[in-house]
Order: sequence, then C-alpha cells, then structure tokens
Amino acid sequence: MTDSSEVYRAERAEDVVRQGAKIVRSAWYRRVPWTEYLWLSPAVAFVLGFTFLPALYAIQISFYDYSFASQERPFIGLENYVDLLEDQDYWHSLRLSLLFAAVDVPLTILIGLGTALLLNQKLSGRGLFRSILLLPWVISMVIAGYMLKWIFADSTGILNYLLSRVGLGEVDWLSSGWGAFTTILLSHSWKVYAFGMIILLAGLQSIPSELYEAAHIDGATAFQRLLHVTIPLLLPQILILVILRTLNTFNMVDLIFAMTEGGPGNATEFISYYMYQRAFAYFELGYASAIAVTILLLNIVLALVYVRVLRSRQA
Amino acid sequence: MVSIAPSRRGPGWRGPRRQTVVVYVLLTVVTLVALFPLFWTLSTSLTPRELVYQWPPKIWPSSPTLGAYTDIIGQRQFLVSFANSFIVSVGTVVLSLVAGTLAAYRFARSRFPGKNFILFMLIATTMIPGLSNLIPLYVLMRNIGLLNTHLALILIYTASFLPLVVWLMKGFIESIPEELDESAIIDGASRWQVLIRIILPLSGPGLAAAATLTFVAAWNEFLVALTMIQTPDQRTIQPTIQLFVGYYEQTEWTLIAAATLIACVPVVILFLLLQRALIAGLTAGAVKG
Repeated sequence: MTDSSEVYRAERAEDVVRQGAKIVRSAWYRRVPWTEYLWLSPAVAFVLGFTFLPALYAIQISFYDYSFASQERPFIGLENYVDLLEDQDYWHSLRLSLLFAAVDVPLTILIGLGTALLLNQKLSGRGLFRSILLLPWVISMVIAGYMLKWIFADSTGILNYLLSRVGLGEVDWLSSGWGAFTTILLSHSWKVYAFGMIILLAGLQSIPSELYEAAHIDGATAFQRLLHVTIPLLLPQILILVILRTLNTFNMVDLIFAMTEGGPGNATEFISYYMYQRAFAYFELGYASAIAVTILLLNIVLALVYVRVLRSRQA
Repeated sequence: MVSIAPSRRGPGWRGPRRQTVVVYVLLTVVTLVALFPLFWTLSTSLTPRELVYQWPPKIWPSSPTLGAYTDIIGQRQFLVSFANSFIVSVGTVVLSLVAGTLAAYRFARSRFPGKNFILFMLIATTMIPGLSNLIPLYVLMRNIGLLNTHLALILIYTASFLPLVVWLMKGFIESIPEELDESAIIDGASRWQVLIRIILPLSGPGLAAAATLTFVAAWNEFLVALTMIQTPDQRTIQPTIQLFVGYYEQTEWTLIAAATLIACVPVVILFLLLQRALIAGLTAGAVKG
C-alpha cells in the first residue's frame, strides 16, 4: 500500500516536473522574440558579414606573413608590429596625417561656421546660395581632386596665372613638398567644408532668437554675441564635427590618388595612402593589415570619445 | 529642420542695411570660390583642344566647342562604366532600403530584449573605417569568387550605408503616429500588412532622403571600386576617370574636364531635386548619431 502510494506520488511528481519544464521551456521559447530578430536579420547579417567580421579578420591577418607572392602564410605573431616600430616611412606618414588633421579639421569647421552664419541671416536668395555652397560636397572626392589639380597645376594652372597677375608670384603647388601639402589641404577644405556648414546651420536654427535679443539689450556687440551666445550653444555640434572630421581626414585617400600620389617624394604620403600602397602595390597584406589595425585603433579611440560626447549631451 | 531663420535684428538695430550688404558681399565671395572649380572645368571642357594650354589662359573660350563631349561619349569604356555605376548604385539603394526599412520598422515599433544592444552595435560599426576593412574584404571577395563583380561592390556598400539608413528610417517611422498601426491591427492586419499599407505610404520623404544619400555615396565611391574590380567591363565610373586621367593627363585636359563633368551629372541632378531630403538626412545622421 505504502509502496504503491509512493510510486503514485513519485509518478505525480515526475509529471509535475515534466509539466513544469514544459511550461518553462515554452515560456522561455516564447519570450525570445524570434520574429523580431527575423525582421532585423538582413541588416544585421550585412553589417556582421561585411563590416564587423572583416574588422576582426584584419586583426588576424596582421599576425601573419600574408602576401600574394607566396602560397605559404606563416603565423609570425607580433613581428609585423615590431617592424612597424622601426619603419621610418610609417612614422613619417603617421606624423603627416596627424599634422594634416590638426590643421584641416579646425580650418574646415571654421569655414563651415562662417558660411553657416552667413546663411543663417534673413535674406532673399538664401536657398540658392545654400545649394551652390553644397555643390562641392555632392561631387566625388576623386573628381574634385582632378578639377582642382587643373587649377593648381604649376606652370599651366589658372591659379598661378592669377597670382602672378596680381604680383604675388607663382607658387610650386604640386612640385614642392609644402606646396603639395598645402594644395591637398586647400582642396580638401573646399570639398568638405559644407558638411560642417549643414550641421552648424541646423544647430544655429535651433537657437532661440530671444537669446540674441536679450544679449542685444544688454549691449553686446555682434562679435560678443557670437563668442558668448552662439559658440557655447553650438559646442555640442562643434565637438561632434571635430571627431567626425578627424575620423574622415585620417581615412582620406581619394584626393591623394587624384592629386599627388603621395609625392613629391613622400611629402603627401599620408598613413591612409601608405597603407594602401603596402597592401595593393607591394601586396604585403599582413604588414599593411598591421598598419590598418593601428588606424582602426585610432578610430575606435575617437569613436569612444564620440559616444562620450553624445551621452553627455543626452544627460 | 528647414525652418525660417529667426531674425537676429533686435529693435533699434543700427544699420541693418549695411549689415545686409556685407553679408551679401561675403556670401558672393564664398559662392564664387565654391563654384569656380566647376566653372573652370566647364570652361576647359568647351575649349578647343589645341588651345587648352594657351597662355595667358582665357576665362571663357572665344569659340566654345562640344568636341570633347562627343569624344568622351564616343568612348565605349566610359559608357560601360557609367552604366556599371548605375547598376551598382541602384542595387545598393534597393538592398539597403529594403534591409534598412525592415529593421527600422521593428526598432521603431517594438520592444524586445537586446533591441538597444543591436541598435548600438549597428550604429557603432559606422566607426570602423572602410580603409582598414579593405584588405580583409579583398581577401574575402577573392575567396568567395566575387572579385571583379558588381555584387561585391553592392554588398560592401550596402553594409556600410545600412546603419545610416536604419537610423534615418527609425526616426522617420517613429514620427508616424502609432495609433494608425493600432487601428489597423484591431482590424486584423498583420505587422507585414501594417508596414506595406500604413508605414511605407507615409515614409516617402524618409525613403527619399535615405535613397539620395545612398545613391550619391555609392556613385562617388572610389577606393573599394578601384580595389575590387580590375576588369574594364565591370569597372565603375570613378576608377575609370582615374584611368582616363592617367592616360590623357599630359595632353588632353579638355577630355578630362568633359569626363569629370559628365560623371557628376547624375548626383548633381539628384541633389538639386532632393536637396531638402538630403540635408535632412545628413543632419539627422550626423547629429543625433
């Protein structure tokens, strides 16, 4: 009697556990929003497959002696990175890119701010001016490079002609080192300033006009209003621009392809161009990947700062 | 975002006229600088080729000719590349809008575990530079046999523009009142039907912004196209221009000028037609990040 009741109870218990497990399982199963994930899956698959995993793969390649010259691709650990440390050309290109970013980023943001301030005035024809000012941003970087190269050309370009006409003398825009650097700088500014202009114009339009009126009543001059009202209120946009523009500048390579190909000598061999050359002119994919990883790390650091800025804005 | 600029002139502003004149003068100067390279390219392209190196240079040719344009349009490689760029750009727009809208719709309308994490990761990948991904993508495309195909470019472009499309469309769909969805669901519509019948018809401006940004970016892309495609029949327009310049640089700037201008035409037309959408998209993508 006791035996059978115990068996009965045990069977009941087993049933309960089984039932419970079934309930838990189905609830867990139901709680996973499979259909939601299904909607997201195409986008996630693209980004995983062609952006995220390749970035990891780049890190992996950088530990190998990977080239198309030989079938053997031995694992060499950190050797590529050790070589990097002693590679004068690498440090030259890194310094050049840093210097370029240090000048180019403030310059493009200043031009962007200036043009945004002009466009924020109440005047007729604003839309037309804005369209024209945006045009350089719409055309491709390579094409912009060729258009400007024809203007900057040392002995046949119209810029040197105009400079000599007004008595400033001709400049070796493309045949001297600093000239080529300046040419890339001016051309890049011409190409990208409009990005900052649009972002800052949107920021300007969100500043309430009462603030200006108050400053005006307090007797602030136009310049004081700019310095004490406009710039502080635009600071978030300016910070974001600094980061995005720096990222962009570091990866800028099209313009160099079009205008100088790194020359003369190695005066415009920026890190982006140097990496590309090592990878696709010399086919040292492992070594070039090590360079790419250093660029990636730099980008990640900047991206973290970017996230920080956005967080503090939302807070 | 396009609103009428607030008037900055408080009562009793001294010399508003003078200020307006100064603003116009400055605007004219920057506009001339912005426009000059395009104007000079146009002028060069219309110059008879034997006069292109004349000194002093003429600001506008005295006898303009369309010879350079007919020469360029007569070149098979140019037309092929132009068509290839169309295929790649349209393919990219379609893929990224479809995948992007599907994801954006659920991001905007639903709450589920992992949503914010997935969204954050999606947006965070935009910080991975295309440059450092170039080598692994080259190896990948080589291994799966997609080198020298349009598909390789479409896949890579789609992956890199998708986060922006998702972000743009998510914001746009969020601005559509959710009551519309709910009443449709009460009437028995599925989520799929809600997307097709309610969300998409109201998303025109958002889709236009996303499509414009994507098309322009795909059309203008140079480095990936240069790396992934070596065969002339598959080559897109930007690398083709580069090859043209390498070939003609010493002699034929009129041809180069004509080629670069023609290559700009699709994006400039798109820009002029959909400028507001483009600006709105650009602003949303960069600022709200």
